[in-house]
Amino acid sequence: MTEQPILTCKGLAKRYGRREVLRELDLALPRGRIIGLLGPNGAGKTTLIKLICGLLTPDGGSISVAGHPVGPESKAVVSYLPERPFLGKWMTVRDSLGLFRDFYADFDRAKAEDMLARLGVDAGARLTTLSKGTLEKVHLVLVMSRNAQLYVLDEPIGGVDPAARDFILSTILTNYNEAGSILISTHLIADVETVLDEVLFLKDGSIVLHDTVDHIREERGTSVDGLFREVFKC
Amino acid sequence: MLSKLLKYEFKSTCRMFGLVYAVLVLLCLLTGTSDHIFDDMGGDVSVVQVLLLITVLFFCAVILITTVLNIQRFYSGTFREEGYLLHTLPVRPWQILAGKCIPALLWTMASGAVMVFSLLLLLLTSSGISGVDWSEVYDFLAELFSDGQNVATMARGGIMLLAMLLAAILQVYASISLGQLLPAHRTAGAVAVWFGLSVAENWTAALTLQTSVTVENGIVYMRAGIVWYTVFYLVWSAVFWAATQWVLTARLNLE
Repeated sequence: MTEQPILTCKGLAKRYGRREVLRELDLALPRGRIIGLLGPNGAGKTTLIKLICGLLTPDGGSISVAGHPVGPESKAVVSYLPERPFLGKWMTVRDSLGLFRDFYADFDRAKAEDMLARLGVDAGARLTTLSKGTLEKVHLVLVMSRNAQLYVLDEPIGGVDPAARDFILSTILTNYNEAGSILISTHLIADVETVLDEVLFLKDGSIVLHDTVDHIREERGTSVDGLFREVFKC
Repeated sequence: MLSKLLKYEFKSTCRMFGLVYAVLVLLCLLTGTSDHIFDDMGGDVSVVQVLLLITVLFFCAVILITTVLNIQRFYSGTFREEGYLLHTLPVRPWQILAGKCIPALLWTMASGAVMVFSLLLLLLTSSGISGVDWSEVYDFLAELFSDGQNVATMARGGIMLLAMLLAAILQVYASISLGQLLPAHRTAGAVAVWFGLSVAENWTAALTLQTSVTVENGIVYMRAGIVWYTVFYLVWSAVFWAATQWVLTARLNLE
């Protein structure tokens, strides 16, 4: 019996006004894999991610996560890191830990506290007093301290310096639930290429490639970065 | 999950409301006491007049702050950055809505109660109330509350005010939510929807009021009583709730 995919999209469509952002997209992502969601600006990456997380309503088709349609059951197993900060400005770091513990049964508070202590983040600090970089790290720690079935990370290494990129990637790789999958959207392909198992190329709302990284290297004799430049050549 | 949503919603607002309430109470205490002291000393009353003006303005500010905070908590918590967290929590849309609406209702009631308390404090500590015969006040209140019919009418009035308040809060929620359906100018859209809903509410109120008025021997009788108005506002509350929940369930499109 084949294992149920962690994510299934069937005929998924999304429009903003008259503009079609996703065009009847069919997709099945396996469990236990790190998948890169790659594409140029406006390809529909963030839209797909928001649909998976229930922040947008599809105009057609369906999505299921671990067999559940998007709803409380799917949200309980998806750990989402958006591009922008999502914690309330009134919160302290401790409040955010409490919130994740209260709402997510798979949240490992001890792990989060340990990571924050190693980063030197004071649990009693108000979020508004933290620097932008530290705040991003707090968000990442919260998201990666869940034993989720699907991690959805939207541009986690965008707009940060190379040292912070290394920290972010190592945090992701050393803390995710290996029985689950990671869907990671980024422009910085060269930085993530070594950690990816599979890639999805999204162009004008359609998937133009879904393949394993090993297969791309062996069969096409090129890196993912090289193939990306080839496919999306301006 | 609703109790957890309520816990964090109250946590997010309690500091601000607590601060506002504390300032109001202290201001009333200061104004009342100053009035008493200056009156006894026969000094310049302009200081008291300024304090009184500030107090009156702060009463208005409490109403404004309560309204703005309630709107801001729903808008930013549901459709702005914090919405990215709220809508990815494993909760149902009705729980999200109740988690916003119940604190807004309770904070509004708390603001009203603190304003009444502060006003009493101002009156009791100022010199203007020194001539009041408290036994008369006590007798009046005792008589008022000894009549069961009076108590029942006041209770019904209180419930009607609660229904009005609920409808007002949910009207704002519905307006903001329906405004989000627009591709652009969503805030302006929300304001337009709010005016539209207000007109619809007033029309239905006027129509039903017209049919409930009878004139006999030159005397106007109104059949629409407190209970009727309570039902009226509860029906509108249900309409606003349904509209908001529909947007959160089937039309959510976070920017």
